[in-house]
Amino acid sequence: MRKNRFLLNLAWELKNLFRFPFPEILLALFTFMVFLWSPSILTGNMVLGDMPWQYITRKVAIFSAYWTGFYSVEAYLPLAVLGSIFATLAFAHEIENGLLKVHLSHPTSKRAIFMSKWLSCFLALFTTLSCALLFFAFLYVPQNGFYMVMNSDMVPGILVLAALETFFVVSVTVSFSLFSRKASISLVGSFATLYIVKLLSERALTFLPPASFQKQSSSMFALSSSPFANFFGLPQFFAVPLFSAVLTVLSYVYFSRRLELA
Amino acid sequence: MSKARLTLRTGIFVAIIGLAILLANVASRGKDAIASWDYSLDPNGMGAQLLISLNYGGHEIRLNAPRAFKGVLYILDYEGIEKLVADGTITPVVNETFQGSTLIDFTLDRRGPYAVIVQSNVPNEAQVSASLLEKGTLRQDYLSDSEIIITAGVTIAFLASIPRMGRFLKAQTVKGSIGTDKTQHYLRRNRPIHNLDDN
Repeated sequence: MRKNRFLLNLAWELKNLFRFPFPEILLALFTFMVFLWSPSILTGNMVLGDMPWQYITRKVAIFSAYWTGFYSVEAYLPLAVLGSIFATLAFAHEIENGLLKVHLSHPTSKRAIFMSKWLSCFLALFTTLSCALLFFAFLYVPQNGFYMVMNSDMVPGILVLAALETFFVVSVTVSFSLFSRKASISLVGSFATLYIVKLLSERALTFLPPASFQKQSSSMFALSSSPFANFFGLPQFFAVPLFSAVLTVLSYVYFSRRLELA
Repeated sequence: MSKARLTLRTGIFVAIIGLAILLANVASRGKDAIASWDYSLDPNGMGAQLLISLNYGGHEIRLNAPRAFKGVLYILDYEGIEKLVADGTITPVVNETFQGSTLIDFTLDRRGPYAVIVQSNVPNEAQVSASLLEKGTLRQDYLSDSEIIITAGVTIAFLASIPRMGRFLKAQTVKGSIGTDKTQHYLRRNRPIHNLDDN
């Protein structure tokens, strides 16, 4: 039976990551930062006698998901630090020490190698961030946990938000790692870039992450019947994911066509 | 990864989540929160506001009403709201009668959504404004939740390591008696050869 080289590579990459307590560190950091939140109270007028229980539980579920998305940006810095480390270990470090040549000497395509490395970074960050966010969402109002699951757009919405945040961080760190080809530059440069982006988004450029993730959370978890209440915000919603996709494609093209190993 | 090792790691993950929640709870105590809203009350009517969500601890609600206003403040928890919606019964956790402007202190023992209802007992329309202060404190409910999560994680990890402990103990038992086996093995290998000529 022909072995799927991509899956073998992916399993090997994940095994390497799990050998160190990286997932434990990620989980601890993400959970701590997300739960270290400032309390806010949302108020809503309640029309007595004219408000079905289903409406109230949905409202509570939406607010739980909204606050989860809102506070997910608190995990941005740990995401940036560890994303830089993973991307550096996966690409720049292996280019520098020649291990990538060993990978390429196997009967496997460059696409499989790139995808397995990229996906291993993504999966490690995404699964731990999702765990922390789901715990937050369900512990926010534990009595409403059942309705969080019954309102079938809440949990997938939280996972989509976690995926978008992770996608952005991984795309930037992997690009830096590949184009710099040096572990030190990759590690420092990618984290510095993500940190500067964070500072700019806090100052005025709210279309940049992580402020843009809070806006995405507002778009996704709205009380109106339409899942995207602010239609005119739709282009903004897709700006960061599109940018991340372009970076990823450029990294793949560079890796598969242009990368020369001495 | 073997099943036992996966279960052990899962237990460790759950325990780490519980520990992180505990530390975050300790680190974030002392932060107050404020909310304010208005009621437009019909004669002898009722106004309600849904707050999502209030936390464990002390709260202070200030009601600004005309001097002649008489009313009752009810605060309902999650189960109380469900009962109110189901059959109209009010089962409050806080029930305070007041006249004019007033300041009411109350303590909640669990976080969650709460309904703040003002019942008017005057035959006139009335405007009442409310502002609520949530006092920052160590959240005992989060503390107990994190303890439950840590216990669950440790239990899962312990159960996963039972087969491993069993194998370890078994290995120790065999080791303890290995001297006897070694001796027998030595004797089997090195038993003296009887020379028939010696007899």
